[in-house]
Amino acid sequence: MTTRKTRLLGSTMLGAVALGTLWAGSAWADAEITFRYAFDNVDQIRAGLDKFEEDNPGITVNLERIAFKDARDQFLRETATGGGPDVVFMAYVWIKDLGSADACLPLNDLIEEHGISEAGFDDFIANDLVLGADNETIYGIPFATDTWGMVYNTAIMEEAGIEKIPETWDELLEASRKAKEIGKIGFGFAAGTSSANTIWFLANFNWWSDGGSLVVDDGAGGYKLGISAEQVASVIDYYKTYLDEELTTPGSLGLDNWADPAVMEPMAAGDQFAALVPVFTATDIFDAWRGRNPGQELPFVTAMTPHGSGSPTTHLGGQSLCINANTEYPEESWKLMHWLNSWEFWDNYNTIYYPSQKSLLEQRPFPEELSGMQQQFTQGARSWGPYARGPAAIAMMWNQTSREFGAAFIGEKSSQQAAEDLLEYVQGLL
Amino acid sequence: MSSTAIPTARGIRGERPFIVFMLVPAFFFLIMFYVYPTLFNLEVSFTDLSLFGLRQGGEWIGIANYVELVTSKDFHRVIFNTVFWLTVVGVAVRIVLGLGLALLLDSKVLDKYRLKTISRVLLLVPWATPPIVAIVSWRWLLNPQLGDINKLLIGLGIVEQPIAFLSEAAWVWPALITIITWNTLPLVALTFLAALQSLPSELLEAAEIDGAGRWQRLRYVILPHLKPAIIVMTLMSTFWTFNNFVYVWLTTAGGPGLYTNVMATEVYIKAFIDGRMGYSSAVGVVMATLMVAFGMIYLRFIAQREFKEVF
Repeated sequence: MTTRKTRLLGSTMLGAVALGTLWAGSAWADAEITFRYAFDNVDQIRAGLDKFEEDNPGITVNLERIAFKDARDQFLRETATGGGPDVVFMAYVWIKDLGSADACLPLNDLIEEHGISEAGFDDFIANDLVLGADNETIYGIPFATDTWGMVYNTAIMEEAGIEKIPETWDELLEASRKAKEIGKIGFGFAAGTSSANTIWFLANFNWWSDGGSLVVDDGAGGYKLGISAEQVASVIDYYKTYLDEELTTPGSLGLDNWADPAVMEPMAAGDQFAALVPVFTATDIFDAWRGRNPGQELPFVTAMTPHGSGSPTTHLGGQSLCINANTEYPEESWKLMHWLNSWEFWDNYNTIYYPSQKSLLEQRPFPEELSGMQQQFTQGARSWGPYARGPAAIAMMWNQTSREFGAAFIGEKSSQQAAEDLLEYVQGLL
Repeated sequence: MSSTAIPTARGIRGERPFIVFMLVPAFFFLIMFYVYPTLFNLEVSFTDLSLFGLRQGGEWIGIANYVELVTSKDFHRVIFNTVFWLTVVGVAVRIVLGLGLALLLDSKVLDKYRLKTISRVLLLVPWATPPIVAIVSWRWLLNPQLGDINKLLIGLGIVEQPIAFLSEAAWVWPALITIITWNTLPLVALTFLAALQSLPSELLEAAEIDGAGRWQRLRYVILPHLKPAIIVMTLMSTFWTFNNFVYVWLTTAGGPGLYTNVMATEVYIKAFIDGRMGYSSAVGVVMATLMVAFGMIYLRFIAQREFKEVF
């Protein structure tokens, strides 16, 4: 009887262990991770994720969408309460803040253990932007990169008698006036106020090319303002001229997205002389034009941005991936991150955007029609550098810049007052 | 005389445990979902809690957020926008138009042309339209390049150039109030219409026999009868409007510049764009305090009215 009981007990325990092992195995095999993405080529990304699932049985990846401008704040709210998707897609310049908020998982150990890409972490452009405040902890991996450049309509140039591509901001203004004389929109841009507005970029490109910068290193490990109120006021006045003389998109002050249909449609329809847009938006404009004019020669040329007393300068922009600090599946998330940064993924699936790795970028040169953008990217794109490293969150400066520019644009404040208020605000953050 | 027995004080005292027991669930939900968040918000308003430091928490900084808020020129603008444009102008337009619409719907003219039912059904359409749909539709209508309103104005020769309604300082508040009014006017009009229909026709007939003209009937009979409804709707509209975030945010995001930034959008901007949860909470506390003041006026009015009705 005792032997039977012992056997029964033994077999029950064995069964329990077997069941436990089976459960643990199935749990491992059924890792379900979520990747939250914010750009529009969702079908391509989904196809890439399907391939990842095929190569990694037992890992399922859910693809979530979010508007890019909401991506950071939503993720912060979720991670603060222990939730959120496993892998997220964020602007380069958000990673440091997300790291400080303990929202992103430190990746140093994973990189040390598994490596990242064939050429290593140094192969990534702007990898300084994914470091934490200590400049050592890595909170993200750069994913896609881009910069901004000019797109000009050559047919309008010819018709309006604009003899050459504008090289300075003043030449761009003059050319826009000529475009208006023949009934076209000059330099179209969105001047509206919002959390993801465009004027921030236009302002920085302008003053950077004139030797100014909102934030600079002070040489003693701190940060200071690198621009005077007069310089800021002159940039405000510059863009205000387009609004006052109606040389830009009608209703520009109500638009906050550089790719707003009100800005893009006249470009695609051949009614606008110039736009300052990211690489992928230029591609969208060209595709839209080709769709309406099959077989015809593209009447667009891309070029570096105009400049002031310095050289043309835009920002080295892009998006990074970070792993949620709350994830239950760091290894699986890391595997996914690896796949999303592989040449196979970029070559076969993510074909619209450009990878952040120098070695992969060499394999995907910009097409001829984007040669101006290529030039901007290689010769005229700078990192946000002290903006990102400094104590002021870029989002705060971004928002305040659009507020002050907007206040001056509508005459609520003088340009000088708006400039002084902006600098006082930024100084307070530094 | 009512036959309902009025409970005595002793009777109520005897029922007290039962009453308390029955109130517990309601109090539980009130405390959990209203009192606790309010107190938590108040506490946060005295800290420098940042959106990027939600896990770490904020440092106690006393009344620094309130000092900054009171001395901020931008915040003065926000208060002005909220109180004057959004609330005073917005509510006044709604009440006046609602009253006019209710009088029209109650008039014999619509009856005469058998338009009474259809006009009331049509009135419900804007009310049944979700705000987001209304806002997106209006944004397209008001678009300077593609909007039908500009096309119409140019077609009729009223303007030569399209108007950027949502970005020109002269037009943005009227445009915003138009959108809010379109979407919310039906409730006001229907409330007034219901009050109008409770007006005994004998009163109007008697006034007419006494020689009262249309204006005098409106002035001395109709408006006094509608007064309680007007006051209630004004106070209620003030609550809904003062707190409103959706219309302003989705239409202009507070711009251009700060021109349409109101307290509700300021709370959002400070919390989720600037990342300053502490400061944002302070704005929220000021907003709630102002609402409490409105609330006390409302409750006082309701209490007075009920007192008059009972006695």
